[in-house]
Amino acid sequence: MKRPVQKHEKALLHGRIGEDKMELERLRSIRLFELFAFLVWPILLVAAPVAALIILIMDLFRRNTSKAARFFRLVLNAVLLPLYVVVLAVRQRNPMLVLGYLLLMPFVVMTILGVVSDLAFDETTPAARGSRSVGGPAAAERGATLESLLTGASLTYFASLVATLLVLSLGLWLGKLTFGRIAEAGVMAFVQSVEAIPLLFLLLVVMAVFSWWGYEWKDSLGPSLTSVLRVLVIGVVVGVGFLPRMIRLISERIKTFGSQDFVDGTKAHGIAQNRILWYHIIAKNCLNDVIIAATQIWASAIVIEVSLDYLIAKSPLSGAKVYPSWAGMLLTDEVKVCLLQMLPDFRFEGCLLCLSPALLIIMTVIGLYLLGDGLRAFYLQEAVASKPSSFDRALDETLRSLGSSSRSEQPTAAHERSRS
Amino acid sequence: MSSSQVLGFLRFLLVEAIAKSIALCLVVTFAVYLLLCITPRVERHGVSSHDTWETQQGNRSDGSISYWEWLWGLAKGDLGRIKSGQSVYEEVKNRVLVTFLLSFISLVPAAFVSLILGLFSCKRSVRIGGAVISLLTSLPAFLLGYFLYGVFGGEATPVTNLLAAILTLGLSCGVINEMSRIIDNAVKDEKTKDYMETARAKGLEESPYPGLGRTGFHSFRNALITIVPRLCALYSLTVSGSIVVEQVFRLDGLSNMLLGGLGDADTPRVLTVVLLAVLLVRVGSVLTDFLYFLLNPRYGQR
Repeated sequence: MKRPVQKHEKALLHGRIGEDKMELERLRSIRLFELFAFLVWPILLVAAPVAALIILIMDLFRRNTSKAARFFRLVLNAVLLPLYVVVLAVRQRNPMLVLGYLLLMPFVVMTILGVVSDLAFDETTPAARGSRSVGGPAAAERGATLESLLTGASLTYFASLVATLLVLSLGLWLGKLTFGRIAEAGVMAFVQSVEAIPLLFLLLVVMAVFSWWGYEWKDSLGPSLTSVLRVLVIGVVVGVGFLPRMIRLISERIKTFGSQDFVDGTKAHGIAQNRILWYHIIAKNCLNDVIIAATQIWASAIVIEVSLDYLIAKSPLSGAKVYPSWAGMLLTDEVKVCLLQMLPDFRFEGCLLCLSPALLIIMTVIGLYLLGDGLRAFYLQEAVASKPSSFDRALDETLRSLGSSSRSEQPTAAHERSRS
Repeated sequence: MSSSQVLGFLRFLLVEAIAKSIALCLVVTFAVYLLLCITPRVERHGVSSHDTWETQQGNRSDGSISYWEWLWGLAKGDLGRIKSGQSVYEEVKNRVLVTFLLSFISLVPAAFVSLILGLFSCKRSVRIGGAVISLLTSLPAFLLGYFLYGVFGGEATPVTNLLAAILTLGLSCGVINEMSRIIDNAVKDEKTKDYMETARAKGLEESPYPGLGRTGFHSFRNALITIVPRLCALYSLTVSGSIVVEQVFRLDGLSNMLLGGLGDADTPRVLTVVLLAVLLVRVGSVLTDFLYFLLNPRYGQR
């Protein structure tokens, strides 16, 4: 006798996640996350086939019929994510979002090319480098090659990615901790101390220490390991430097939303304090602002990282190998000629490669800020268009039927407006 | 404000602000010292081991000192000596003035621009201009810096060089983005308060500009109560941005000392520079606390 199809199996067979109303709610905010996921597209590009393979293997055990469809859909979604988000942004008639994505495309593509070229081409001799430099062997001597452009892109990308991920994870957790009074004092003391330290000073000292270690290692281990460690070190220190901003944002939001009526409703339903904080307050209300702040923190992390590269390229710390970076390319003599004596000595073909790091920095930072503003406009549009979900309506009815007499202070319109 | 309020604020300043600053300086310099300690011995080029330096320090041949020795010297007023035997104090005393002036005065153009962007954000032209300015000022400092250095700066004209450096630092250290946002939110929050309804009912012109006959005359001072405490967090952005700007405009400030000290693995120099940087930021925040006390005399009272 055939076993009757269970509810969740039916949903899986039809390719949907779930019929549960809470899941549908969670889906509504997924679009914003998808739009933000463009920034981690290079990693998704690598992770999607791996995840698809894992799903394939797991399906072989479950003997599900739709494994091939899901495999291809996963990889296709990951590869076509940029196209999808641009089409979505154009359909929303959101010019800032489209412009942001277009400006960020070269950066993201160069990251992938940089990683590929790092893995594929391992020679560091000037002759080999000269063959890949646009300006000829003379430019390669000074370090202004296409390869260093790509490597600099991947260094900047991964360092700022590590910083942003650290800020998102630690910042959310520490911000959630501020709900308790004792923990709030500790977290605020940490925040004030980190705010009081100028970030570049700390970053320079840490890089100096790291460079000395790297000097000892550079003959024994290949360039790839030291560059991974360098990216991690820069990313972690920059991330810690930007933690105060995220913690302040989240603790402000928690204080605002924690005093509203729906929190009493969820407590009346018997939902645990932790789940209220994580799901009802943070995930449903703050996550959009957190994602928008994350794009701005990404841009600021890129700026700080490029400034650090500039300082290290200008006065190399003794015993340290100067790594290829965008700011290092800018410090060649040709750039100074271009900038300071633009009119009489303007040579276009040399200037292109020399000025391209500057152009790329400008495009990336402005693209990220436009992305953040576009996401904010998208969020406001979504908030206006959306109706309260059935879960919220059920909660309101429960509250009304219980006849809650205690009315907490109604937050003013100022609190509910999304603070930029 | 009464004398008891002033005394209460001074007590608050002494106990909370200054004690916090001392604790923070100790923690940060100790952390930096630990980091410097774990560096391995490397071949350093161009470092001359001065004979008198070695005999003064005794047991260590590479000239490093322990944290306690440095602290004890600090308490006695002696900042230590660098590798070549000169006193750190001699090097520092001119440079710290340059960095302090640069970072403090650059807050003036930053505050000016962010006030205009924040106060008048109700006007569409200011909003568009503000978006453009925020985009341009969020770039790294050396992009704008090299351009201004080429046009205005140079060794020949030190005054315009310094002014260009101040302008660059003010515009590019990220203060404008944060400040204009804070000012915008604070002014918008003030508009919804009850006393503003009274002001409008009495016939004052609805304008954020703090002039006589306008509602901004009353709302601006109350908005400052929200804005001023956030300034101290932004001052550290200026100090850290001053490293890059000093390198671009070739000013002789703390950045040269820091980079030189890191290059030579010179513990007293690096510790002194880090201590001074943290002290500068704390001095800025203590001054901001004092400004806030002038606005709101109940601050710091128990």
